Amino acid sequence: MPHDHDENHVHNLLPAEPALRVKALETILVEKGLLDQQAVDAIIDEYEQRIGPHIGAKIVARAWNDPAFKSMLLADSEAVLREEGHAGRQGEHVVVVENTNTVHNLVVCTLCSCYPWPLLGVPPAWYKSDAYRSRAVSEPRRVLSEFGIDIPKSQSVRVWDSTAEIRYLVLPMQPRESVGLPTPELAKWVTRNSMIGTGLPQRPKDDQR
Amino acid sequence: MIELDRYSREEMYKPFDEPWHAEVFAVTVHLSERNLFSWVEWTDALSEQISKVKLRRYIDGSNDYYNLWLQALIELISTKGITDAEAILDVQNRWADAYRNTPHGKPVKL
Repeated sequence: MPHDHDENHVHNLLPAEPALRVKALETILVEKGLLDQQAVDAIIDEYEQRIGPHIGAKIVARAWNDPAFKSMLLADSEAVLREEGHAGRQGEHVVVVENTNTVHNLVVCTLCSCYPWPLLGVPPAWYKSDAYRSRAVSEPRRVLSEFGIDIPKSQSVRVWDSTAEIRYLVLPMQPRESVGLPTPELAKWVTRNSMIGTGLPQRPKDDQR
Repeated sequence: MIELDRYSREEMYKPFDEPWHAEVFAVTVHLSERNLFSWVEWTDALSEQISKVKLRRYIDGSNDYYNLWLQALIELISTKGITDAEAILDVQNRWADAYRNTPHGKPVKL
């Protein structure tokens, strides 16, 4: 039954169809005692307010400044992340892959959208699109150039396909002009995309030097 | 082919485009943490849903993606015997009626 628009503003605005369907699903699950709405709200709050790429950026910055930490991170990232308190959901089995002069790493999830949530938060829309999920594997260099980075021939591009069991974080190369900065300053150079492999670290916009 | 440019430069962390994306995401995480299904079961269900539609057209990573997510979740909990699409549609219609019949500004209740 279509909504009667003659009575504009008299009634509450009807939410979009999928939003209503989610609401209905929640109603049923609450009635069955299977869903705690407060817990759901807390999960949303966590990903909107607390977790995000700033966490991964801190790890990368520390690895740049602390060779021992970097070696541990590359050898057994699980242990390091657990110790740092970043082993939350989807954080188990994170493998850190290092960019070098000869290898550029690129992360994708071809089947759905597996992603290291505790380090980067929820993936951006493009990561979940068919275009990225299929083309990152079939033509990675072209995808990278669309992201604005051209990888020299001397660097091979290695594509890592994430799964529910293994997720990847790219350790980008440190820009030369950032060497010597304290870790909190360095973290500002580490962009989200640089930790997926679709970007490179960048001088922060508020950096006046 | 979809241009990636539109998204690629955007570095801002914006976890959810729509409130219902956040809701369906969090409900799924919550149900998995309550052991109604394992996370592997979930990613299998979502991957299957995505691969079904992939044959016909490119999906975007926003509304398209979360519509498939919602469909996958409904199918997964249906196979667990928790509820089914018909029961959900029934409650959905009741919510729609409640929105239509509640005067503006008043809380909407079933």
